[in-house]
Amino acid sequence: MTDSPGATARGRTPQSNPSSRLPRAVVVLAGVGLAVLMVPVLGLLTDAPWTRIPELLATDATLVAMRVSLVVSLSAVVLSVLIGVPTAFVLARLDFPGKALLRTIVSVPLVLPPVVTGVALLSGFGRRGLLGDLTGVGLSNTTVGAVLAATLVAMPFLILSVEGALRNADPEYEAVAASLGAGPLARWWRVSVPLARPSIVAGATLAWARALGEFGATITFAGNIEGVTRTLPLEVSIAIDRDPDRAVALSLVLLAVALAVLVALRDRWVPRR
Amino acid sequence: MPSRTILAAAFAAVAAIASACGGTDDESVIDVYAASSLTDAFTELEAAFEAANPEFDVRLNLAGSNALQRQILDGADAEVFAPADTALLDAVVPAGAPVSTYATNTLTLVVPVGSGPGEPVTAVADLGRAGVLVARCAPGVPCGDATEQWLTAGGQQLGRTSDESNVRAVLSKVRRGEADAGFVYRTDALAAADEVTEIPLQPTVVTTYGVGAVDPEHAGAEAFVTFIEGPTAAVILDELGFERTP
Repeated sequence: MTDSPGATARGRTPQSNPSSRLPRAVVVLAGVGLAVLMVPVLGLLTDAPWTRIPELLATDATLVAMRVSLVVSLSAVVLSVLIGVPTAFVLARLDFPGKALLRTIVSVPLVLPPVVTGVALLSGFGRRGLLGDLTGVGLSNTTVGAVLAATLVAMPFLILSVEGALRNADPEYEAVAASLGAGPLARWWRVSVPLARPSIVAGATLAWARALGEFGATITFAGNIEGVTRTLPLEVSIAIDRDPDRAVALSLVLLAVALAVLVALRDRWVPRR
Repeated sequence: MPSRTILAAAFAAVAAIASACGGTDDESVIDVYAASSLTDAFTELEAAFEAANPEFDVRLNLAGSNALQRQILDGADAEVFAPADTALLDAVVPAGAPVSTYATNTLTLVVPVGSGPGEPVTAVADLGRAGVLVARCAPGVPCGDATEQWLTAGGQQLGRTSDESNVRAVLSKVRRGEADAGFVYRTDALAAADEVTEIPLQPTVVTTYGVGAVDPEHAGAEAFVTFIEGPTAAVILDELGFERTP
């Protein structure tokens, strides 16, 4: 990390007085926005029982929940990339009837309360849902179920990010590749996907962050089973009734992990514009 | 648009949000914070109370007892608190304010009606069997503590459990057949009698419900607490399967 994003920004825009370039009202409202975002985090930091944090966190339950969280959120990202990237390409490059509807369906989990997503998952993949009726087994209350819940809420971030980038992309390169004799699959894999890579990484990062924080759909569909579906957010929900200090300590862990990964990804893999 | 207009609009919006969140000083509204196991009871009690006292409007906040207590301790504008454990009243009801222990409830086991994927649970002894998923309240919330008390007294082990934050979440898991069994109160079992079968527990674990005026200054708070102790409420509570305190 030789240069920070701030340094680059400074190099490109006049540093002298940025507020002179924007109406004062805009800057003031941005300040309000920042305060709204920062106050809860500051509250958490002042609430934190700093001296007791090591003992509060040094339990098997924390490690188990952390493991479940990592397995579930990373699996959800892998799954999202595997099926979300092709979906984004279909939405951006193909014209077919019902495309507007499909695009709406893709965005639905962004708007739906996660608990509703959980209920929908039960109806679809639960023991007594469509899948259960057909096969006699459901995915509810399993780690796979937790991954499914996280994927459903996280994948739209990836799809929308990639689709947006693809629609603004220059089709020239693919045309050149075609003129040089590349087949459709080679063209897609060697030209289109690499060109979309920044948006895939950015979308996957957002999707991962969303998956890590997922709570409502998970507890509704996958339950709160230690070592199986009890992720860190679910562990926090249990701790809050038993030991609020531990809940705050766990929240700090989530905050730290999320910040670390977001910062790392920003600096290393997301190209700056 | 001049920036002053935008600013004024923004401040107006912030002020509107702030006043909406701050609750009301309206004396006709009684904010009642009640445990999830009281969902059906207090919904009916609300209607009966408002019919008898049209000058008041009861506003229910239903959630796990601990979550509600936390909200009140954090300064939520509650007038009445009705947790599933009388001990939770102590921290939030001022000394001398009206308090009543008005009903009790018994912990019970419910299993889903109809076939599930595995061998159904038919007796307490099945609870520890491999592959059985038991929904229960998390330790620390009243129904979870009651469950813990029974497990200790009965010497019963559980296999895999899904720990829920309130009793209605447990009931919902069993109703949908997602859990093979669940620890709830008798009244919850009765409320879902079409979908769950009850397996009574021995020894019995009894929970005592208390209700208290968090804000004794509020005219409606005392009226509501008194109503809960009264004969009209007794009929409603009886019908739902609550036991009356002696």
